[in-house]
Amino acid sequence: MKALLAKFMPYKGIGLYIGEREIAVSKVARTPLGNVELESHSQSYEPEQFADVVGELLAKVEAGGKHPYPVAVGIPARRVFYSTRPLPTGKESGSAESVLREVMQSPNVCIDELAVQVVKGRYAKRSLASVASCRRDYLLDLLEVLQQAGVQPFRTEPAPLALLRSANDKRRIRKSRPALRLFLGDGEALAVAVAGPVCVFWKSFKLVAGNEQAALRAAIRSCQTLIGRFGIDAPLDVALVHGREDLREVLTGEAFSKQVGVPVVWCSEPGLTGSSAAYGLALGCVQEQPGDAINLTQSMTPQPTIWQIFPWSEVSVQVALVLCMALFLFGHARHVQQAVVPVNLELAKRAWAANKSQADLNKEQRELLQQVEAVKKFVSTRVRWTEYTHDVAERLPEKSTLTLFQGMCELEDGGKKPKKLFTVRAEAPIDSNGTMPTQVDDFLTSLRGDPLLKRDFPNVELTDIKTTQPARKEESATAIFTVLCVPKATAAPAPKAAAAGGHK
Amino acid sequence: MTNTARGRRSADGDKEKKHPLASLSNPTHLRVFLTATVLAVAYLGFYSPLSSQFDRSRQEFDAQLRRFVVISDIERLREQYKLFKGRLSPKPDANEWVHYLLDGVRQYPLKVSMLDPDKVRDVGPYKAVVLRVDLEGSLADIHKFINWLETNERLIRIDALSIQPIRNKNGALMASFTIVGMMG
Repeated sequence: MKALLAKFMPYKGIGLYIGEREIAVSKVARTPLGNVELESHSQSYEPEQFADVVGELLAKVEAGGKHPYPVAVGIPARRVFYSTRPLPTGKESGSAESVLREVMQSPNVCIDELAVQVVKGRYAKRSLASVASCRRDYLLDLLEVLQQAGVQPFRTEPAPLALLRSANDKRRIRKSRPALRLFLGDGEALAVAVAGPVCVFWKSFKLVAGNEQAALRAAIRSCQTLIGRFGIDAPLDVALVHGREDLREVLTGEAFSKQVGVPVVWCSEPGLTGSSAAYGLALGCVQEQPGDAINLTQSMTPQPTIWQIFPWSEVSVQVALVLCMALFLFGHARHVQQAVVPVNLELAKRAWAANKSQADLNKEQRELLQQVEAVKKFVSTRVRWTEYTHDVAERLPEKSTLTLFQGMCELEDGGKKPKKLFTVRAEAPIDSNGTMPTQVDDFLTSLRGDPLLKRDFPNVELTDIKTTQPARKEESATAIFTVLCVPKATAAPAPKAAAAGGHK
Repeated sequence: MTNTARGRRSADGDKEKKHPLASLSNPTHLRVFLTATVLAVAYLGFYSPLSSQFDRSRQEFDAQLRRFVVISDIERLREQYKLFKGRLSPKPDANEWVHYLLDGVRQYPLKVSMLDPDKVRDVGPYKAVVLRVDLEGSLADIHKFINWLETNERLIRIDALSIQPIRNKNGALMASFTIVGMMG
């Protein structure tokens, strides 16, 4: 996944380490998941083959081709003078040459033939100035060879700084305490003292087979002594040994730590090899800005023009996004513009409304609505009584007489609840044996089944029934009964009734 | 002398006077500058004018649509109004209604026992006349009169009616009405 992602990432860098007998090159891509080394090559050379080997290796990693990736060049530790000194409080600036003079403590040393670079850093609330210098002729020759290969270096720095970066990528240390990193090679080793982010000094020494432990012990002790001279008061916190797995057991033993007076930790990578230095150089291209680290050829190469460093791909992506956004907005605005066209066409057909303002139209709409609603209510809430006069008369049982036909369906007036009821009173003769006439039940049943009453007055109740004695003997007694029909009870009073029932 | 050495000298010479755009030689600064420029161009060149145009179009569309909805509603309401416009009495006059009702009663053999105009009521924007009428007559005639009221060309409703036989008058009925008539 990481390797696949690295292929498509635009942030790539190339590190070119030029050793005394070997040249190594490494290509690194920076991905959101971490740094990935895409390819690495190394080749030994004779002095007369130098230009050819550099060109060949750079061609392998496609430096200076269609995609001009930044190339950082590393030079061997012994070609560079490097030192660090604390800056007095308040004196934060000064030319590289003056710092070099102060470090060398010689007013008459000729520094015209040297390329000098100073990088400032902070450790334990103190400003430190690290100065690096190299012979200008050597660098000019190097630049000429690179120019032939079509490459202008992004940065030229000492290889120990690249190894330090590479080691930091593999294993980090506490930034608050000084530490010593030891990079071991086959017959040689390099000790680099660091204080936080600042490389204080480095020291190369031989590793004679069978005598490695003594050489390392001497180197660590001397570094412990030396670091105080560079303005670092605290003792070394840890010594990290990189490379040479064959020495692991000896170096990580308790006895060795006691001898050197500092804990020793062993890491497999990076060893003192050209490839490790090239990897660290490539990391510097993708992780750091040009001014963040020492660049010995900064004053010898013209500043790249804006067009040379112009991020065409990023700008084209941004422009494409902007154009997409513009197209989206334009399309949206056009869609709304087109949507209004049919509405305008419909409005144009209604000439009567053309000269009317929206307020006039709203007023007319409001007035018309009130009129229509009033009439709708007037008509829809009335009861057609002709249907009832006809229907009730038909349902009246034989020998019965209707004595009252009363209907009420008031028009709603303000907040007052309108009355709505229907009352029928009828007389039916009582049999000679005095039993209540069945006509009463028949009439009641008939009314309850009446579709008209079901619609308007569904609650049909017999409210009273009276008997009257005849005035004359030949006449029979009659039963007078009243039927009250009312609409269904509205929903509002129901809870009250329910509550009353609940209390009971 | 190599090109790079010449480049170095020219670089040294230019060191003193820094061009305002010199900081753009730093790739990070250049990227920030370009991103800011692209954003500014996008905002001022596209987003701002297009979004204003979009807002204007949207407002115009909303206004026209609102107008169209109101006009359509007015047309619908006018159609409904036409249906009952002719059924409203020509003028809001209770006396005119009394005459109209008496003319209606005269069509049937009914005797007017009482005709009492009540207080005029408000029905929405309209006025409604309330008339209390007592009539004497047969059930058939009273039925016909009720039918005349309910199928009248004017908007009339019977709020209350009561029909009961008159004592000592065989077959004659007394019908009491509360009639509400809509006035224009």
